[in-house]
Amino acid sequence: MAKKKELDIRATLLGLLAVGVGVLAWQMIGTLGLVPKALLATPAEVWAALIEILHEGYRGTTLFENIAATLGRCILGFLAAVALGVPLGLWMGISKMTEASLNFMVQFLRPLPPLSYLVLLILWFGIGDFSKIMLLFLTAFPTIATASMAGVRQVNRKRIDAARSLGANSRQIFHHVLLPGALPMIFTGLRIAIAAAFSSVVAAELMAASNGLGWMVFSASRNMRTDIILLGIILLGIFGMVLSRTLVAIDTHMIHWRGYD
Amino acid sequence: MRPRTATAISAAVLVAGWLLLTLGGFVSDLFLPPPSQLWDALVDLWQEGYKNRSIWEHIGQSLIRVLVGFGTGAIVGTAMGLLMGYFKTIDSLFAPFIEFLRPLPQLAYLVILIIWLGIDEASKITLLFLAALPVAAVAARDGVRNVSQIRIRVAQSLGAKRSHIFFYIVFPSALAEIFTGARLAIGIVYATLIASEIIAGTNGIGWMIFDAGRFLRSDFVFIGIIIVGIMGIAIDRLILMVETRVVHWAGKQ
Amino acid sequence: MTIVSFEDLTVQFGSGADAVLALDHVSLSFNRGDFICIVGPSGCGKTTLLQTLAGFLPPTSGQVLFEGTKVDGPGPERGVVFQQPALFPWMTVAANAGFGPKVLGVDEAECDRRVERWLRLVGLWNFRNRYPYELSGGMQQRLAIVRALCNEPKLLLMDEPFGALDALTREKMQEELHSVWKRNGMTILFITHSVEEAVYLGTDVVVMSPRPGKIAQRIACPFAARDGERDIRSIKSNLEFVKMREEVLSLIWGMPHDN
Repeated sequence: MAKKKELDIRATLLGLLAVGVGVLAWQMIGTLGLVPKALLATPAEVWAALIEILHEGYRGTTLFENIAATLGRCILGFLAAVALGVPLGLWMGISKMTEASLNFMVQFLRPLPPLSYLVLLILWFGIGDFSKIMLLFLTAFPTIATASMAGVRQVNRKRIDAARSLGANSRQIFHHVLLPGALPMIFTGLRIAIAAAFSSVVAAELMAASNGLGWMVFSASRNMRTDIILLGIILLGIFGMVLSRTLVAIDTHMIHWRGYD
Repeated sequence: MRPRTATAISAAVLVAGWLLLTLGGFVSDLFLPPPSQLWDALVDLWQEGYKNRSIWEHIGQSLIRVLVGFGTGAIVGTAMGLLMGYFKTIDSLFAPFIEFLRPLPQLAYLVILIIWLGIDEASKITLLFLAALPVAAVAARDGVRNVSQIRIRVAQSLGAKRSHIFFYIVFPSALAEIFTGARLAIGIVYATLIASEIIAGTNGIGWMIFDAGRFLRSDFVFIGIIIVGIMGIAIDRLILMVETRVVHWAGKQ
Repeated sequence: MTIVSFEDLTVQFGSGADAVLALDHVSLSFNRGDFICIVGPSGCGKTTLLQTLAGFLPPTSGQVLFEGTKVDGPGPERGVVFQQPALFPWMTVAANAGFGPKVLGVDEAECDRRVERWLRLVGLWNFRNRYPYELSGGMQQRLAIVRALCNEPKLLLMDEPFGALDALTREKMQEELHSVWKRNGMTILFITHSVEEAVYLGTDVVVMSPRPGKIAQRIACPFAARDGERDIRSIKSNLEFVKMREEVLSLIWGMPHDN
């Protein structure tokens, strides 16, 4: 037990060391002028940009506003996809007829790169937030629905039979056997879906937005503000990790039986 | 009713709806082109190409980018992942960068890549490389970690040395997860490619969709989307085929 | 000719209050050509004993000697077979069987010779180009045994190798193993939950008791020395056999069991 803790501490320290060395090298490259100033802002400059934006905002938008816009769109689209995708996926897993009627549409949507139909969505719904949230919904939905369907399908038949012979009715079997049994796969799908949604929201903001972290990066590139670009990238990376870690935490917390079968 | 029939009926309803909306004049051709217009556009693309390049050129451009970006990213990523799985120190050193890169929206760093490498192929291919790398690395690392201990012990008892164990036990064992990672990676690479062609492209099928959109040629947009969809499915199926042949033992007991 | 000697072997897992004494000052030795069957209730340390001899587990104190030298890790002279076949599904049956000689650098012709000999012996020669997952459970376990034997180990360690097989296959495997042992003059250490199997196969039956793991008794068994005269049913229903089996079972029943 103690040995594992030792290893974990060592791993964390090595990780911090690697990051520290990386940041130092980055600063050195800038300070020593190894790369033209216009191309690379140093960590110090990025930090200064952060302070600047916190105080003065960026082109009329506060940092908070941009973060909220990006995260908000992402989470909204994602939640909508969960609300529709999980029930539909479960239903398709349980009912072969439902699957036959609907799955082909889901499966055609799945490999479709989201930005390809963003163009269409903008044609239909204009350039505002609605088309973006619709984009995120469509990005996340097929993965979640497919994962839910697969999840309920792979529930061990023996468990269903055991519940039946204990006298459970269909609703109870769904609630206590099928749904929990499908959860691990559903959550795996959720994790993939949120990463895809987050990527899509940034891409959409790069293309057609007036706020958000993606917009900020895009706008800064027009003005060659590499410090703000890098700040945006770092913030996006951090929030990407936060979203994914949150989902992992919910997953581990809820699905305490993972790994035991 | 048999499931096949249900699918057919469903599809028929969709087509009927499409015909009704377009031919009945409920929506403008801009929103939803009627089948005839799509057909004409398809023939046009086939014969005349798009903006002085044949449709195959555009498709080919996109495919080459995908293959080069994915190929390099997957190979380097897998190699990294194998090392990370084997050596805890390497894992600890690389992990923060992989963990940061993986959820990072690819298009965000396209911007800086363009500033560094220009707007042509180099920045796009590098982007795809970086998109594939962390996924492949994590898959390979997990593949190594999940190798059955009992098989390793058996091999040791048979006299296998460390190199034998890597080539004959660990690597084949990890292949299943490496391929799963590859399929995930190519999906991401493909989506990233199309997105980058839309945002910063001058050719390729993604660019075509964007450009057609700018000129409000929704018929070309639709066809482009369908082509992109078919390409995506084809790529995924190709990897699946290779996977079933190489990792022929997966899922069997 | 003593081939294996456990000398005052103690194996402890964990430390302090959580410590579990898997083996407590266990001493045992046996000779070349012996077929030692180890039985006992769950938790008596029989697997731990095998693992120390195989070289997967170091002793906490005491030592394990193989042919007079301390055991220092796994090695090809001590082949192992587990309850799960743990075959390599990416290799053919023949490749699995020949894996040991191959990594030991045995020349190709000799490798092929051994593989053919053993696969023919257990009836798997016709399946040599198939993959393990195409075989039945019994065939897979046979292949696992062949894989160990192709290396021509001096000692074969088997941890409940027939535990996952159905009754009929199990008995067939018992007979096959017996004949292989007899014809090749091998030494085998065999762990099993089945007392009947132990009494049928072993030259000696070693009964272990749990918590902490110790050797309770060692009983010499005459049935392994039989010639091909009597069949399995008449041996297993033989009065002497039944008496011995019952004796060992009563011994085990009298012990504390793992709950």
